[in-house]
Amino acid sequence: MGLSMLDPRTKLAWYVLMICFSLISGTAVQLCVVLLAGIMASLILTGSLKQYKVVILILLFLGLQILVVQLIFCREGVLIYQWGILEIYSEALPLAITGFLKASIIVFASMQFFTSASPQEFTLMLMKFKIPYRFSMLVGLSVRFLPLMKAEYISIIDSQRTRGLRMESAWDNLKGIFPTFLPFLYRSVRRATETALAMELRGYGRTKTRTFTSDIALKSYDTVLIFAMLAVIIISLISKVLPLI
Amino acid sequence: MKKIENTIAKVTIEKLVFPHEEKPALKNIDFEINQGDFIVITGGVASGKSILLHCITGAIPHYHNAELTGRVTIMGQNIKDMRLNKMSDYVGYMMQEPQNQIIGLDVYEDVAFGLGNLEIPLKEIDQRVKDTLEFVGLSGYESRQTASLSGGQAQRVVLASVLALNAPILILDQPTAELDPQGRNELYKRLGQLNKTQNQTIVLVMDRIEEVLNYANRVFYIQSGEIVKQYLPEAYYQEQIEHRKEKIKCLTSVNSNHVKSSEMIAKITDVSYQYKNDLLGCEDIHLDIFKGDFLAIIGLNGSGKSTLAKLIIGLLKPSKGEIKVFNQPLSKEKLAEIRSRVGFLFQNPDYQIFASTLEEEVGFSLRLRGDIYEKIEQKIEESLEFVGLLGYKKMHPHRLSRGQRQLLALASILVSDPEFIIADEPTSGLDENQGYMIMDKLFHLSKNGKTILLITHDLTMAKDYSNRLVALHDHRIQLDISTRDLDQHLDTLKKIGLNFHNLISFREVKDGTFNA
Repeated sequence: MGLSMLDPRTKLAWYVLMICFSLISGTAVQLCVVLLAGIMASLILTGSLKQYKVVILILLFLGLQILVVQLIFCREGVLIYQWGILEIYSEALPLAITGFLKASIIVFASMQFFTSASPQEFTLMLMKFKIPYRFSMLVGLSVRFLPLMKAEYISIIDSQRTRGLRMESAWDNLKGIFPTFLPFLYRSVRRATETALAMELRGYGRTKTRTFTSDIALKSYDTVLIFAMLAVIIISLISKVLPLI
Repeated sequence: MKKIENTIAKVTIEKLVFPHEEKPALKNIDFEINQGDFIVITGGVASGKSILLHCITGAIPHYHNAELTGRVTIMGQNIKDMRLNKMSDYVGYMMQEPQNQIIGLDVYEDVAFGLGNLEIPLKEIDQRVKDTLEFVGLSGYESRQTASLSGGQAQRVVLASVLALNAPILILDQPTAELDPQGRNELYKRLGQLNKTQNQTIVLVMDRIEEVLNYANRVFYIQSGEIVKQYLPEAYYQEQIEHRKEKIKCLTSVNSNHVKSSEMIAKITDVSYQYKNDLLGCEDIHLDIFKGDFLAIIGLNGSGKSTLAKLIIGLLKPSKGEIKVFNQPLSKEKLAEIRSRVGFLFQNPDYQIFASTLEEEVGFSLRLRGDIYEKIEQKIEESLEFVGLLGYKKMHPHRLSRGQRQLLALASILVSDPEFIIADEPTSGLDENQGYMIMDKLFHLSKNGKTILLITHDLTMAKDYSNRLVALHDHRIQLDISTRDLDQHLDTLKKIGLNFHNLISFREVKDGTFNA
């Protein structure tokens, strides 16, 4: 079964399940199992983890930051090392690991969800949740204009570079914010105005419904998967809440 | 009586004033649009052409805030009383800048967008999308991502999206601004067909006088917000052609006197460039640019003209070959020094304007160089005076018209006194007079010893102003000739879609079409 065969609502249920598990699971082992399950699901359905390359690098950087913060500020457990004012407690490392794993699951699941469904599928999914199409369609619009805005920003930078603006170091980039960002802002406002007008003049919002060129429908396996995942979420929540009552 | 039956729109505007503006943007407008009319509206930049179209489509007063005294009716209904999103029943409106009007992620989705809003059944949507894409020459492009379309293709997609609505009036604002000569011919031919065979009413703001006049039946000339003259196309053409002939006469005499210099400005040896998405930019380019050249690089959309310009200024790095400018390779160390001697005029002036006054904008590159205050002031004044904008030096740049902003961009590069000026489609989006104004300035600079590299698909401008023509086709240089030898190469150029025969040939063909 390919990823494209799944209904976006099934993907949403999987996303919610992953988030729930990342919040409920308390130990590093549990979190590792959840993360591995997410990775395996991606591997099985898409056959590759290539698209997560950048995210993995960002997560490793984030993990390092979490570790440093925990080492410096964590005061749980017993003191295992002291050097001047720096005190390292025994719970710092486990907390850093669980924190890193929780963040990894959330980021990974988010990326999995937002890259697996097309903007059109998002729109249709939101429509099924009874959100008016005037709002649902904005997801697709933002996806349409992001690459265009990026290309335009690059052109603006090129234009200012030919006038002598240096954009080589981080300091240069900071100094170049005004000459590059202001034209970009002007162009973006103009684009938004014209796009909105073009949409209205093509009848956008004239009636409560519209004809979409595609549709989504839950297949039997989608229904089974959604119910199974909802059941797991409910059972997990109950098992977590019951001991507290 | 018959005329009343045929009138589908009536535009009577006594006055239209925008907030915070003293002068009316439109005044004393009174005309009717009849079924089957092909009206061409022309006039200078900021003369009110696009604003007039906004009034007919209902964008004013429904979308843009303006005080309109008068009445615009379509099919007997006052547009003031109609909702903007119901206007698609009456008008199909294509504005400038096609990329801003593309809503779908792929071509099919975009053309189907308006039809979906009209709640048309899916089967009919399919058929209409197919038919309109075929009409605009984009059959087979249904699943193409809109982000990957060229300017010309994007323009056709927007046109298809508007045509698909089957509105009784088709309103087009500079529909061929992004198209090369071949694309322009084809599009006007198709619009002419639509007008003749289906009696489609068309109102079009025109950028160039060629081609479209063959199909029009009325021409309005608008000046300072007022329709000052209404012509038959033949009469308008005669008036314009006389004006242009005078211009060509005085320019050609200077062009033909050009003597090739031996001093090299840029040397491009065996250069190829491939974009990251594997698209070819240009291939095996050999080109020597000499001091005093007014070199026009011509070619169809996507032939590699802009890529070549960006390679010369070092914005792109060749995949193969070497480029030397002022006898220095375009290395990282030398780039800043080379760029200080080269000026690059971009197609869209808004890509560089950020300052709050004209003088601040023009002085930007001098301040970056660290010039002294007095010198900066003097150079700003000289540059603004050269482009005729000195009187506006304290004004905010975005209060200027598009043509004036292009002149401001020119002043911004001239202030550094560059020896070599690269202008990438500098007249795109400008009307004919403003286009000539920019070109006159470049020509004046050329006469004073500057080297000009003009990237254009405007064959008239290339022919009138350059002393050397380089034609690109399929990313390679097809021809490199002196402009005075152009007549000997017309057939070769025609074969690659650059038809110089079409220039100044209105109604020369008996059946009213062109020899494209």
